[in-house]
Amino acid sequence: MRRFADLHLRFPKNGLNELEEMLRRSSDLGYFTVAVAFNQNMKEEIKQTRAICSDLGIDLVTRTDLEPNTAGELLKVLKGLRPRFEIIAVKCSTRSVARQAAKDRRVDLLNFPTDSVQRERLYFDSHEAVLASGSLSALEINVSTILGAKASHRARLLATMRREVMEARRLRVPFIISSGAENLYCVKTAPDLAVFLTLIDMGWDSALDTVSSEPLKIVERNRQKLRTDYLSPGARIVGGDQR
Amino acid sequence: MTFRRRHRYALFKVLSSSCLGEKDVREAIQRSVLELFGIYGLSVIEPKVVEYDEKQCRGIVRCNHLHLPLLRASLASITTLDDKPVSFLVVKVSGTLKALRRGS
Repeated sequence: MRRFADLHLRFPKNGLNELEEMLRRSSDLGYFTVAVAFNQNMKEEIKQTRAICSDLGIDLVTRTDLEPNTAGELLKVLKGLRPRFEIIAVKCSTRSVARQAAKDRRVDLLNFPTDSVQRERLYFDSHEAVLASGSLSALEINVSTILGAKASHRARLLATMRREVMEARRLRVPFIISSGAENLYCVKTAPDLAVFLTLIDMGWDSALDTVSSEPLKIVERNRQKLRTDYLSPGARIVGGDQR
Repeated sequence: MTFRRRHRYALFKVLSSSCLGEKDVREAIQRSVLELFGIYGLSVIEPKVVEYDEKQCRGIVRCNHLHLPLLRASLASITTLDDKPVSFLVVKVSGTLKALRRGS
């Protein structure tokens, strides 16, 4: 049986109470793992969210979203951030940021502009795909981006996403689909998220992988990296302490 | 040989701040299919609300069995109704009404 994961719940404007409702709904909808995006200084909120998830019996993944303006700024922000969050996502606002994020092993997820016009100029192209295939970073598509666009903008967005997914599949770059929910109404079932990939010519089984096995692989890989006995991919200290 | 149409039945739940009537739900589904797939899409998907319980905010919608993903995408795309946020969640899908009602 598939275990589903939504790697992108945004921290809601109304705070922890609304987040608790969102997490409760995620649990009701059958999610096994949920990632919540926190700011870098939200230590207390992370602690409280962990307690909520523990009560609900779902696995919480801590995530942070970075929005640097330059590649240099990205490198600066990434320093020391890796041990604090299980998932690091970068919103690529310029070409140089996209290139740097795609080749940096500390970056897990790449996000591209939500506006359809901007997205046509800056999208996950073949160069990013080549860099990402070497660094294991994955492309993330947020359903909230698709639902937020109206009429012809949505059509343009889907066309760009179709190209991105084709590039990612060609070079075997992992990609996932997440809700990007920031309120209760945007939390959807995993098949309801996956169904948007069928609109961009993906098969149903592959689409379901992007809300189950693919995100879980990313989480598992990062958790292994965060262990103190981790040395490098495939190598760890036998009998070492676990964090 | 005769051609027999096959259907899929989807049990859905509507989440909203206020209760929606059956007419609102039917119109919302039709509008969403039209917006995403146009008139051709509406003609091949053939969505039809079979029943809707206003108290429980749950209903059953029928579609052509080949185009279930398109119906699911249409339901998932409904985000507002009369400027109020709503969400349509597909709870269960079956090939017969009997099987759908059995488990729900």
